[in-house]
Amino acid sequence: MIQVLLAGVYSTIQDLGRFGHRNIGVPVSGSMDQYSAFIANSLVGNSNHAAVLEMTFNGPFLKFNKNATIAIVGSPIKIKLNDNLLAQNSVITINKGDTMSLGTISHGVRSYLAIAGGFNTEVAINSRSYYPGITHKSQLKKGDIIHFNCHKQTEILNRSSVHLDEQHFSNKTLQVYPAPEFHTLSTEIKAKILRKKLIVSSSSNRMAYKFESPITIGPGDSINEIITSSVQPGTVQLTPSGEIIVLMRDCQTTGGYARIFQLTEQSINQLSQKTTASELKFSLVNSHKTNNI
Amino acid sequence: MNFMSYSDMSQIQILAFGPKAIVINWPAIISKDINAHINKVNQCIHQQFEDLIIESVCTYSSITIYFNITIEPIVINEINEHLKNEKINLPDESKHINWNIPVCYDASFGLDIEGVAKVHSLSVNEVIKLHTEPLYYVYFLGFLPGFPYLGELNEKLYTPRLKTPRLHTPKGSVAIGDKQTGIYPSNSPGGWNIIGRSPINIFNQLESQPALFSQGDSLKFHAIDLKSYESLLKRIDKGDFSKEELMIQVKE
Repeated sequence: MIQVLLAGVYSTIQDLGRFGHRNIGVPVSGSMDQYSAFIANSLVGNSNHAAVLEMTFNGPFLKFNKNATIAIVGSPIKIKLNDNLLAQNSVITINKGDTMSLGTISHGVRSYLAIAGGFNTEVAINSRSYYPGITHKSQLKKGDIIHFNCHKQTEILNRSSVHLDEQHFSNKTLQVYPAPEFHTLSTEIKAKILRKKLIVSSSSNRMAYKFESPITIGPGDSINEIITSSVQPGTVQLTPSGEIIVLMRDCQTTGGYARIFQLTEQSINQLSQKTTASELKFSLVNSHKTNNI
Repeated sequence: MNFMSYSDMSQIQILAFGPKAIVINWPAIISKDINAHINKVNQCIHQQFEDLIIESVCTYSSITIYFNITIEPIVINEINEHLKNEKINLPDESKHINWNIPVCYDASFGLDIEGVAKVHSLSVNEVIKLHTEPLYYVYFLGFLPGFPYLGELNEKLYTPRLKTPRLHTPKGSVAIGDKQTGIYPSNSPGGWNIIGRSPINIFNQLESQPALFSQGDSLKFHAIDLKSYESLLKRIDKGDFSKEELMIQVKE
Protein backbone atom coordinates (compact mmCIF):
# COMPACT_ATOMS: atom_id res chain seq x y z
CA MET A 1 0.00 0.00 0.00
CA ILE A 2 0.93 3.65 -0.41
CA GLN A 3 0.60 6.30 2.27
CA VAL A 4 -0.26 9.81 1.11
CA LEU A 5 1.95 12.19 3.10
CA LEU A 6 0.90 15.22 1.03
CA ALA A 7 -1.87 15.09 -1.55
CA GLY A 8 -0.92 17.63 -4.23
CA VAL A 9 -3.31 20.24 -5.64
CA TYR A 10 -5.69 17.83 -7.30
CA SER A 11 -4.83 14.14 -7.52
CA THR A 12 -7.41 11.50 -8.40
CA ILE A 13 -7.59 7.82 -9.30
CA GLN A 14 -8.87 7.29 -12.86
CA ASP A 15 -9.40 4.43 -15.27
CA LEU A 16 -11.06 4.29 -18.71
CA GLY A 17 -14.32 5.54 -17.22
CA ARG A 18 -17.80 4.54 -16.18
CA PHE A 19 -20.04 3.25 -18.96
CA GLY A 20 -23.58 1.98 -19.08
CA HIS A 21 -25.19 4.47 -16.71
CA ARG A 22 -25.37 7.69 -18.68
CA ASN A 23 -29.12 7.12 -18.97
CA ILE A 24 -29.43 7.79 -15.22
CA GLY A 25 -27.16 10.83 -15.38
CA VAL A 26 -23.86 9.21 -14.32
CA PRO A 27 -20.89 10.93 -16.05
CA VAL A 28 -18.25 8.87 -17.87
CA SER A 29 -15.14 10.28 -16.10
CA GLY A 30 -11.80 8.52 -16.62
CA SER A 31 -8.27 9.80 -17.29
CA MET A 32 -8.33 13.22 -18.98
CA ASP A 33 -5.30 12.35 -21.14
CA GLN A 34 -5.86 8.71 -21.98
CA TYR A 35 -2.82 8.64 -24.26
CA SER A 36 -0.42 9.36 -21.39
CA ALA A 37 -2.29 7.03 -19.03
CA PHE A 38 -2.09 4.29 -21.67
CA ILE A 39 1.68 4.68 -22.11
CA ALA A 40 2.17 4.67 -18.33
CA ASN A 41 0.18 1.46 -17.99
CA SER A 42 2.00 -0.15 -20.93
CA LEU A 43 5.40 0.58 -19.40
CA VAL A 44 4.57 -1.38 -16.26
CA GLY A 45 2.86 -4.21 -18.16
CA ASN A 46 -0.73 -3.31 -17.25
CA SER A 47 -3.75 -3.52 -19.51
CA ASN A 48 -5.20 -0.11 -20.33
CA HIS A 49 -8.10 -0.89 -17.97
CA ALA A 50 -5.83 -0.56 -14.91
CA ALA A 51 -6.48 2.44 -12.67
CA VAL A 52 -3.79 5.13 -12.56
CA LEU A 53 -3.11 8.22 -10.45
CA GLU A 54 -3.89 11.45 -12.30
CA MET A 55 -1.90 14.42 -10.98
CA THR A 56 -2.94 17.99 -11.80
CA PHE A 57 -0.56 21.01 -11.63
CA ASN A 58 1.65 19.13 -9.18
CA GLY A 59 2.03 15.75 -7.56
CA PRO A 60 1.72 14.21 -4.09
CA PHE A 61 4.36 13.10 -1.60
CA LEU A 62 4.04 9.35 -1.17
CA LYS A 63 5.46 6.62 1.04
CA PHE A 64 5.52 3.06 -0.30
CA ASN A 65 5.01 0.34 2.31
CA LYS A 66 5.54 -2.43 -0.25
CA ASN A 67 7.90 -3.02 -3.18
CA ALA A 68 6.44 -1.68 -6.40
CA THR A 69 7.16 -0.96 -10.03
CA ILE A 70 5.81 2.28 -11.40
CA ALA A 71 6.01 4.60 -14.41
CA ILE A 72 5.14 8.29 -14.66
CA VAL A 73 4.03 9.67 -18.01
CA GLY A 74 2.48 12.95 -19.12
CA SER A 75 3.47 16.59 -18.89
CA PRO A 76 6.93 17.08 -17.36
CA ILE A 77 6.97 16.57 -13.59
CA LYS A 78 9.84 16.64 -11.12
CA ILE A 79 10.29 13.16 -9.59
CA LYS A 80 12.37 12.57 -6.49
CA LEU A 81 12.74 9.03 -5.12
CA ASN A 82 14.16 9.40 -1.60
CA ASP A 83 16.86 11.97 -2.49
CA ASN A 84 17.47 11.04 -6.12
CA LEU A 85 16.04 12.87 -9.10
CA LEU A 86 14.58 10.48 -11.68
CA ALA A 87 13.37 10.77 -15.27
CA GLN A 88 9.77 10.20 -16.29
CA ASN A 89 8.61 7.97 -19.15
CA SER A 90 10.59 5.05 -17.80
CA VAL A 91 10.08 2.18 -15.39
CA ILE A 92 10.96 2.96 -11.77
CA THR A 93 11.62 0.26 -9.18
CA ILE A 94 10.48 1.13 -5.67
CA ASN A 95 11.57 -0.62 -2.51
CA LYS A 96 9.51 -0.96 0.63
CA GLY A 97 9.97 2.16 2.74
CA ASP A 98 10.90 4.49 -0.15
CA THR A 99 9.38 7.94 -0.32
CA MET A 100 8.59 9.71 -3.56
CA SER A 101 8.08 13.41 -3.93
CA LEU A 102 6.30 14.53 -7.09
CA GLY A 103 6.79 18.23 -7.75
CA THR A 104 5.38 20.87 -10.05
CA ILE A 105 4.13 19.95 -13.51
CA SER A 106 5.56 22.21 -16.20
CA HIS A 107 4.60 22.84 -19.86
CA GLY A 108 1.28 21.08 -19.32
CA VAL A 109 -1.36 20.20 -16.78
CA ARG A 110 -1.49 16.47 -16.06
CA SER A 111 0.83 13.58 -15.41
CA TYR A 112 -0.01 9.92 -14.72
CA LEU A 113 1.46 7.43 -12.29
CA ALA A 114 0.80 3.80 -13.21
CA ILE A 115 1.75 0.96 -10.87
CA ALA A 116 2.36 -2.62 -11.95
CA GLY A 117 -0.82 -4.53 -11.07
CA GLY A 118 -2.92 -1.35 -11.00
CA PHE A 119 -4.45 0.58 -8.09
CA ASN A 120 -6.97 -1.40 -6.14
CA THR A 121 -9.25 1.35 -4.90
CA GLU A 122 -13.04 1.31 -4.49
CA VAL A 123 -15.07 0.27 -7.52
CA ALA A 124 -18.31 2.26 -7.74
CA ILE A 125 -20.71 1.58 -10.63
CA ASN A 126 -18.15 -0.42 -12.67
CA SER A 127 -15.25 2.01 -12.37
CA ARG A 128 -12.56 3.23 -9.97
CA SER A 129 -12.61 6.76 -11.41
CA TYR A 130 -13.13 9.29 -8.62
CA TYR A 131 -16.30 11.33 -8.96
CA PRO A 132 -18.01 13.18 -6.09
CA GLY A 133 -21.15 11.37 -4.98
CA ILE A 134 -20.24 8.20 -6.90
CA THR A 135 -16.97 7.22 -5.22
CA HIS A 136 -16.53 8.02 -1.52
CA LYS A 137 -13.38 9.97 -2.30
CA SER A 138 -13.30 12.80 -4.80
CA GLN A 139 -9.60 13.60 -4.55
CA LEU A 140 -6.51 12.38 -2.73
CA LYS A 141 -6.19 13.69 0.83
CA LYS A 142 -3.25 13.77 3.20
CA GLY A 143 -3.30 10.57 5.26
CA ASP A 144 -5.06 8.45 2.61
CA ILE A 145 -3.93 4.86 2.11
CA ILE A 146 -4.02 3.62 -1.48
CA HIS A 147 -3.86 -0.10 -2.14
CA PHE A 148 -2.52 -1.69 -5.29
CA ASN A 149 -2.63 -5.17 -6.75
CA CYS A 150 0.30 -7.56 -6.66
CA HIS A 151 1.97 -8.43 -9.92
CA LYS A 152 4.62 -10.73 -11.29
CA GLN A 153 7.89 -8.79 -11.50
CA THR A 154 9.08 -10.88 -14.43
CA GLU A 155 6.48 -9.41 -16.73
CA ILE A 156 8.17 -6.04 -16.73
CA LEU A 157 11.20 -5.13 -18.76
CA ASN A 158 13.34 -3.37 -16.25
CA ARG A 159 14.76 0.02 -17.22
CA SER A 160 12.50 0.18 -20.24
CA SER A 161 11.55 3.66 -21.34
CA VAL A 162 9.63 5.33 -24.15
CA HIS A 163 9.74 8.45 -26.23
CA LEU A 164 6.41 10.16 -26.37
CA ASP A 165 4.98 11.71 -29.48
CA GLU A 166 6.09 15.35 -29.13
CA GLN A 167 3.10 16.44 -31.20
CA HIS A 168 0.84 15.22 -28.43
CA PHE A 169 1.96 18.10 -26.20
CA SER A 170 2.77 20.77 -28.80
CA ASN A 171 -0.13 20.43 -31.24
CA LYS A 172 -2.23 23.60 -31.37
CA THR A 173 -5.08 22.30 -33.51
CA LEU A 174 -8.21 20.62 -32.19
CA GLN A 175 -9.56 18.18 -34.75
CA VAL A 176 -13.35 18.23 -34.76
CA TYR A 177 -16.28 16.52 -36.43
CA PRO A 178 -19.50 18.44 -37.04
CA ALA A 179 -21.98 17.72 -34.21
CA PRO A 180 -25.81 17.69 -34.39
CA GLU A 181 -26.43 21.46 -34.36
CA PHE A 182 -23.51 22.50 -36.61
CA HIS A 183 -25.78 22.61 -39.67
CA THR A 184 -28.12 25.05 -37.89
CA LEU A 185 -25.42 27.76 -37.75
CA SER A 186 -25.15 30.47 -40.36
CA THR A 187 -22.20 30.36 -42.77
CA GLU A 188 -20.87 33.47 -41.10
CA ILE A 189 -20.85 32.00 -37.60
CA LYS A 190 -19.33 28.75 -38.87
CA ALA A 191 -16.49 30.70 -40.46
CA LYS A 192 -15.98 32.85 -37.36
CA ILE A 193 -15.65 29.80 -35.14
CA LEU A 194 -13.21 28.05 -37.48
CA ARG A 195 -11.07 31.21 -37.69
CA LYS A 196 -11.25 31.96 -33.97
CA LYS A 197 -8.10 31.97 -31.87
CA LEU A 198 -9.11 30.02 -28.77
CA ILE A 199 -7.37 31.12 -25.58
CA VAL A 200 -7.74 28.62 -22.72
CA SER A 201 -9.42 30.24 -19.70
CA SER A 202 -8.31 29.61 -16.12
CA SER A 203 -11.75 28.26 -15.23
CA SER A 204 -11.09 25.03 -17.14
CA ASN A 205 -11.32 21.75 -15.24
CA ARG A 206 -12.24 18.05 -15.55
CA MET A 207 -15.82 18.98 -16.48
CA ALA A 208 -15.11 21.52 -19.21
CA TYR A 209 -12.54 23.71 -20.92
CA LYS A 210 -13.57 27.30 -21.46
CA PHE A 211 -12.01 30.04 -23.58
CA GLU A 212 -11.47 33.78 -23.24
CA SER A 213 -13.67 36.20 -25.23
CA PRO A 214 -16.83 34.85 -26.88
CA ILE A 215 -17.35 35.12 -30.63
CA THR A 216 -19.32 38.21 -31.62
CA ILE A 217 -22.72 37.56 -33.06
CA GLY A 218 -23.72 39.95 -35.78
CA PRO A 219 -27.13 41.65 -35.93
CA GLY A 220 -29.67 39.40 -37.56
CA ASP A 221 -27.76 36.31 -36.51
CA SER A 222 -28.58 34.19 -33.48
CA ILE A 223 -27.57 31.03 -31.70
CA ASN A 224 -30.44 29.13 -30.15
CA GLU A 225 -30.47 26.87 -27.15
CA ILE A 226 -31.84 23.40 -27.83
CA ILE A 227 -34.35 21.23 -26.03
CA THR A 228 -32.17 19.37 -23.47
CA SER A 229 -30.37 16.52 -25.20
CA SER A 230 -27.37 14.24 -24.79
CA VAL A 231 -23.76 15.49 -24.57
CA GLN A 232 -20.49 13.56 -24.26
CA PRO A 233 -16.83 14.22 -23.44
CA GLY A 234 -15.39 16.21 -26.35
CA THR A 235 -18.67 17.93 -27.27
CA VAL A 236 -18.17 21.60 -28.20
CA GLN A 237 -21.10 23.75 -27.09
CA LEU A 238 -21.93 27.25 -28.28
CA THR A 239 -23.98 29.40 -25.90
CA PRO A 240 -26.45 32.08 -27.09
CA SER A 241 -23.93 34.73 -26.01
CA GLY A 242 -21.23 33.19 -28.23
CA GLU A 243 -19.20 31.44 -25.54
CA ILE A 244 -17.44 28.25 -26.64
CA ILE A 245 -17.26 25.38 -24.14
CA VAL A 246 -15.53 22.03 -24.68
CA LEU A 247 -16.98 19.37 -22.39
CA MET A 248 -14.43 17.05 -20.82
CA ARG A 249 -14.41 13.64 -19.09
CA ASP A 250 -16.50 14.60 -16.01
CA CYS A 251 -19.19 16.43 -18.00
CA GLN A 252 -22.89 16.01 -17.40
CA THR A 253 -24.76 13.56 -19.60
CA THR A 254 -27.26 16.10 -20.98
CA GLY A 255 -27.22 19.78 -21.82
CA GLY A 256 -29.18 22.56 -23.47
CA TYR A 257 -26.59 24.46 -25.52
CA ALA A 258 -26.10 23.94 -29.26
CA ARG A 259 -23.67 21.07 -29.94
CA ILE A 260 -21.54 22.30 -32.80
CA PHE A 261 -18.50 20.01 -32.84
CA GLN A 262 -17.26 16.73 -31.45
CA LEU A 263 -13.51 16.50 -30.75
CA THR A 264 -11.58 13.43 -31.83
CA GLU A 265 -10.39 11.28 -28.90
CA GLN A 266 -6.85 12.42 -29.65
CA SER A 267 -7.86 16.07 -29.42
CA ILE A 268 -9.63 15.52 -26.07
CA ASN A 269 -6.39 14.01 -24.73
CA GLN A 270 -4.31 16.86 -26.14
CA LEU A 271 -6.64 19.60 -24.88
CA SER A 272 -6.46 18.18 -21.35
CA GLN A 273 -2.74 19.10 -21.30
CA LYS A 274 -3.28 22.77 -22.28
CA THR A 275 -2.44 25.36 -19.64
CA THR A 276 -4.28 28.65 -19.10
CA ALA A 277 -3.65 31.13 -21.94
CA SER A 278 -2.65 28.40 -24.45
CA GLU A 279 -3.74 29.31 -27.98
CA LEU A 280 -5.63 26.81 -30.10
CA LYS A 281 -7.77 26.53 -33.22
CA PHE A 282 -10.46 24.18 -34.44
CA SER A 283 -10.01 22.26 -37.67
CA LEU A 284 -12.75 20.16 -39.25
CA VAL A 285 -11.83 16.53 -39.88
CA ASN A 286 -12.25 16.00 -43.57
CA SER A 287 -14.52 13.00 -43.57
CA HIS A 288 -17.27 11.99 -45.93
CA LYS A 289 -18.55 9.65 -43.26
CA THR A 290 -19.68 12.39 -40.96
CA ASN A 291 -20.61 15.16 -43.35
CA ASN A 292 -23.10 13.47 -45.56
CA ILE A 293 -25.55 11.76 -43.29
CA MET B 1 -50.59 14.88 -30.00
CA ASN B 2 -51.74 12.77 -32.88
CA PHE B 3 -50.26 9.28 -32.90
CA MET B 4 -49.26 9.50 -36.55
CA SER B 5 -47.30 12.66 -36.06
CA TYR B 6 -44.60 11.00 -34.01
CA SER B 7 -44.77 7.37 -35.13
CA ASP B 8 -44.41 8.59 -38.69
CA MET B 9 -40.76 7.85 -39.20
CA SER B 10 -40.35 10.37 -41.99
CA GLN B 11 -40.32 12.96 -39.21
CA ILE B 12 -37.19 11.66 -37.59
CA GLN B 13 -33.74 12.87 -38.36
CA ILE B 14 -30.53 10.88 -37.80
CA LEU B 15 -27.40 12.95 -37.21
CA ALA B 16 -23.79 11.95 -36.59
CA PHE B 17 -22.41 12.93 -33.20
CA GLY B 18 -18.73 12.18 -33.67
CA PRO B 19 -17.44 8.94 -35.21
CA LYS B 20 -19.02 6.61 -32.65
CA ALA B 21 -22.40 8.13 -31.80
CA ILE B 22 -25.61 9.14 -33.52
CA VAL B 23 -28.54 11.26 -32.43
CA ILE B 24 -32.07 10.42 -33.54
CA ASN B 25 -34.27 13.49 -33.28
CA TRP B 26 -38.03 13.67 -33.15
CA PRO B 27 -39.73 17.08 -33.35
CA ALA B 28 -38.49 19.16 -30.41
CA ILE B 29 -41.64 18.94 -28.34
CA ILE B 30 -42.07 18.08 -24.66
CA SER B 31 -44.81 15.48 -24.73
CA LYS B 32 -45.37 12.33 -22.70
CA ASP B 33 -46.50 10.50 -25.83
CA ILE B 34 -43.34 11.28 -27.79
CA ASN B 35 -41.21 10.50 -24.77
CA ALA B 36 -42.89 7.13 -24.19
CA HIS B 37 -42.63 6.38 -27.91
CA ILE B 38 -38.91 7.10 -28.21
CA ASN B 39 -38.21 4.87 -25.24
CA LYS B 40 -39.96 2.02 -27.03
CA VAL B 41 -37.97 2.75 -30.19
CA ASN B 42 -34.84 2.71 -28.04
CA GLN B 43 -35.70 -0.79 -26.79
CA CYS B 44 -36.17 -1.96 -30.38
CA ILE B 45 -32.82 -0.54 -31.46
CA HIS B 46 -31.09 -2.23 -28.54
CA GLN B 47 -32.67 -5.56 -29.45
CA GLN B 48 -31.60 -5.25 -33.07
CA PHE B 49 -28.09 -3.84 -32.68
CA GLU B 50 -27.18 -5.11 -29.21
CA ASP B 51 -23.61 -6.13 -30.12
CA LEU B 52 -22.73 -2.68 -31.45
CA ILE B 53 -24.10 -0.53 -28.64
CA ILE B 54 -22.35 0.59 -25.44
CA GLU B 55 -25.33 2.52 -24.15
CA SER B 56 -27.94 5.04 -25.16
CA VAL B 57 -29.47 8.13 -23.63
CA CYS B 58 -33.08 9.16 -24.24
CA THR B 59 -34.09 12.74 -23.48
CA TYR B 60 -37.39 14.55 -24.16
CA SER B 61 -37.53 13.84 -27.86
CA SER B 62 -34.18 12.36 -28.90
CA ILE B 63 -32.14 9.19 -28.57
CA THR B 64 -28.35 9.30 -28.56
CA ILE B 65 -26.71 5.96 -29.23
CA TYR B 66 -23.10 5.41 -28.22
CA PHE B 67 -21.51 2.63 -30.29
CA ASN B 68 -18.44 0.52 -29.61
CA ILE B 69 -17.38 0.89 -33.25
CA THR B 70 -16.91 3.69 -35.73
CA ILE B 71 -20.23 4.16 -37.45
CA GLU B 72 -20.14 3.59 -41.18
CA PRO B 73 -22.95 5.10 -43.25
CA ILE B 74 -24.20 1.57 -43.91
CA VAL B 75 -25.09 1.13 -40.23
CA ILE B 76 -27.00 4.42 -40.24
CA ASN B 77 -28.91 3.27 -43.30
CA GLU B 78 -29.67 0.00 -41.58
CA ILE B 79 -31.03 1.79 -38.53
CA ASN B 80 -33.05 4.07 -40.76
CA GLU B 81 -34.55 1.12 -42.65
CA HIS B 82 -35.16 -0.70 -39.42
CA LEU B 83 -37.03 2.25 -37.92
CA LYS B 84 -39.09 2.76 -41.05
CA ASN B 85 -40.19 -0.85 -41.25
CA GLU B 86 -40.51 -1.71 -37.60
CA LYS B 87 -43.99 -1.53 -36.20
CA ILE B 88 -43.17 0.25 -32.99
CA ASN B 89 -46.22 -0.92 -31.15
CA LEU B 90 -44.69 -3.46 -28.86
CA PRO B 91 -45.93 -3.33 -25.32
CA ASP B 92 -43.81 -1.22 -23.03
CA GLU B 93 -41.97 -3.86 -21.04
CA SER B 94 -40.60 -1.66 -18.32
CA LYS B 95 -42.44 -1.24 -15.04
CA HIS B 96 -43.45 2.29 -14.26
CA ILE B 97 -43.94 3.33 -10.68
CA ASN B 98 -46.05 6.08 -9.15
CA TRP B 99 -44.06 7.58 -6.28
CA ASN B 100 -45.24 9.60 -3.32
CA ILE B 101 -42.37 11.81 -2.18
CA PRO B 102 -42.46 13.60 1.19
CA VAL B 103 -41.20 17.19 1.18
CA CYS B 104 -40.77 19.56 4.10
CA TYR B 105 -41.55 23.07 2.83
CA ASP B 106 -40.39 24.70 6.09
CA ALA B 107 -38.61 28.02 5.46
CA SER B 108 -35.45 26.64 7.11
CA PHE B 109 -35.12 24.34 4.05
CA GLY B 110 -37.13 26.26 1.47
CA LEU B 111 -34.80 29.24 1.35
CA ASP B 112 -36.58 30.75 -1.65
CA ILE B 113 -40.19 29.70 -0.98
CA GLU B 114 -41.17 33.15 0.30
CA GLY B 115 -39.50 34.76 -2.69
CA VAL B 116 -41.36 32.44 -5.07
CA ALA B 117 -44.65 33.21 -3.32
CA LYS B 118 -43.96 36.95 -3.58
CA VAL B 119 -43.14 36.83 -7.30
CA HIS B 120 -46.53 35.26 -8.00
CA SER B 121 -48.52 37.15 -5.33
CA LEU B 122 -49.35 33.89 -3.63
CA SER B 123 -49.17 32.81 0.01
CA VAL B 124 -46.58 30.19 0.97
CA ASN B 125 -49.44 27.75 1.59
CA GLU B 126 -50.77 28.34 -1.91
CA VAL B 127 -47.30 27.60 -3.35
CA ILE B 128 -47.23 24.34 -1.41
CA LYS B 129 -50.74 23.47 -2.57
CA LEU B 130 -49.90 24.15 -6.22
CA HIS B 131 -46.64 22.22 -5.99
CA THR B 132 -48.19 19.14 -4.37
CA GLU B 133 -51.20 18.90 -6.71
CA PRO B 134 -49.82 17.57 -10.00
CA LEU B 135 -48.72 14.06 -10.85
CA TYR B 136 -45.30 14.78 -12.33
CA TYR B 137 -43.97 12.63 -15.15
CA VAL B 138 -40.26 11.60 -15.30
CA TYR B 139 -39.05 12.32 -18.84
CA PHE B 140 -35.45 11.28 -18.28
CA LEU B 141 -32.57 11.52 -15.82
CA GLY B 142 -29.63 13.88 -16.30
CA PHE B 143 -27.83 16.98 -14.99
CA LEU B 144 -26.72 15.10 -11.84
CA PRO B 145 -26.71 11.33 -11.25
CA GLY B 146 -30.34 10.40 -10.53
CA PHE B 147 -31.79 13.87 -11.17
CA PRO B 148 -35.29 13.58 -12.71
CA TYR B 149 -36.47 15.96 -15.44
CA LEU B 150 -40.12 16.40 -14.45
CA GLY B 151 -42.97 17.75 -16.51
CA GLU B 152 -46.31 19.22 -15.48
CA LEU B 153 -45.26 22.03 -13.12
CA ASN B 154 -48.24 24.36 -12.65
CA GLU B 155 -47.76 27.48 -14.80
CA LYS B 156 -48.50 29.66 -11.79
CA LEU B 157 -45.20 28.48 -10.30
CA TYR B 158 -42.94 29.15 -13.30
CA THR B 159 -40.10 31.14 -11.71
CA PRO B 160 -36.89 32.45 -13.29
CA ARG B 161 -33.63 30.93 -12.07
CA LEU B 162 -31.61 32.81 -9.45
CA LYS B 163 -29.54 35.63 -10.90
CA THR B 164 -26.49 34.30 -9.12
CA PRO B 165 -26.44 30.50 -8.74
CA ARG B 166 -25.76 29.18 -5.23
CA LEU B 167 -22.43 27.45 -4.77
CA HIS B 168 -24.15 24.96 -2.52
CA THR B 169 -27.65 23.57 -2.96
CA PRO B 170 -28.07 20.85 -0.32
CA LYS B 171 -28.89 17.26 -1.21
CA GLY B 172 -32.66 16.62 -1.14
CA SER B 173 -33.53 20.22 -2.04
CA VAL B 174 -36.77 20.50 -3.98
CA ALA B 175 -36.54 23.43 -6.34
CA ILE B 176 -38.08 25.33 -9.25
CA GLY B 177 -36.09 26.58 -12.26
CA ASP B 178 -38.14 28.31 -14.93
CA LYS B 179 -40.77 25.79 -16.09
CA GLN B 180 -39.24 22.85 -14.29
CA THR B 181 -39.18 21.37 -10.83
CA GLY B 182 -36.91 18.68 -9.44
CA ILE B 183 -35.01 17.20 -6.51
CA TYR B 184 -31.24 17.52 -6.06
CA PRO B 185 -29.84 13.99 -5.54
CA SER B 186 -26.61 15.34 -4.01
CA ASN B 187 -25.03 18.57 -2.82
CA SER B 188 -24.35 20.68 -5.88
CA PRO B 189 -24.05 24.22 -7.11
CA GLY B 190 -27.47 25.25 -8.40
CA GLY B 191 -29.41 28.14 -9.86
CA TRP B 192 -32.92 26.95 -9.01
CA ASN B 193 -35.23 28.41 -6.36
CA ILE B 194 -35.21 26.08 -3.36
CA ILE B 195 -38.71 25.62 -1.92
CA GLY B 196 -38.25 22.62 0.38
CA ARG B 197 -36.32 19.48 1.16
CA SER B 198 -37.04 15.77 0.97
CA PRO B 199 -35.35 13.31 3.34
CA ILE B 200 -35.50 10.59 0.66
CA ASN B 201 -32.30 9.39 -1.04
CA ILE B 202 -33.03 9.48 -4.74
CA PHE B 203 -29.58 8.23 -5.73
CA ASN B 204 -27.52 5.55 -4.01
CA GLN B 205 -24.44 4.39 -5.88
CA LEU B 206 -24.22 1.27 -3.71
CA GLU B 207 -27.49 -0.19 -4.97
CA SER B 208 -27.78 -2.30 -8.10
CA GLN B 209 -30.28 0.24 -9.38
CA PRO B 210 -28.67 3.44 -8.13
CA ALA B 211 -31.41 5.86 -9.24
CA LEU B 212 -34.77 5.77 -7.43
CA PHE B 213 -36.70 7.05 -10.46
CA SER B 214 -36.78 5.76 -14.03
CA GLN B 215 -38.01 7.31 -17.24
CA GLY B 216 -41.78 6.86 -17.43
CA ASP B 217 -42.35 6.88 -13.66
CA SER B 218 -44.67 9.43 -12.12
CA LEU B 219 -44.41 11.18 -8.81
CA LYS B 220 -46.42 13.33 -6.45
CA PHE B 221 -45.01 15.47 -3.67
CA HIS B 222 -46.74 15.59 -0.30
CA ALA B 223 -46.02 18.12 2.45
CA ILE B 224 -44.64 16.98 5.81
CA ASP B 225 -43.77 19.09 8.84
CA LEU B 226 -40.32 19.54 10.32
CA LYS B 227 -40.94 16.89 13.01
CA SER B 228 -41.96 14.24 10.48
CA TYR B 229 -39.00 15.20 8.30
CA GLU B 230 -36.61 14.62 11.17
CA SER B 231 -38.11 11.32 12.29
CA LEU B 232 -38.16 10.06 8.69
CA LEU B 233 -34.54 11.14 8.19
CA LYS B 234 -33.57 9.24 11.37
CA ARG B 235 -35.26 6.08 10.10
CA ILE B 236 -33.55 6.42 6.71
CA ASP B 237 -30.14 6.93 8.31
CA LYS B 238 -30.66 3.86 10.50
CA GLY B 239 -31.62 1.81 7.44
CA ASP B 240 -35.09 1.33 8.92
CA PHE B 241 -36.87 2.46 5.76
CA SER B 242 -37.87 0.76 2.54
CA LYS B 243 -38.50 2.55 -0.73
CA GLU B 244 -41.64 0.41 -1.15
CA GLU B 245 -43.22 2.79 1.38
CA LEU B 246 -43.04 5.50 -1.29
CA MET B 247 -44.76 3.52 -4.03
CA ILE B 248 -48.36 4.41 -4.64
CA GLN B 249 -48.79 2.07 -7.54
CA VAL B 250 -46.71 -0.10 -9.85
CA LYS B 251 -47.95 -0.10 -13.42
CA GLU B 252 -46.98 -3.34 -15.16
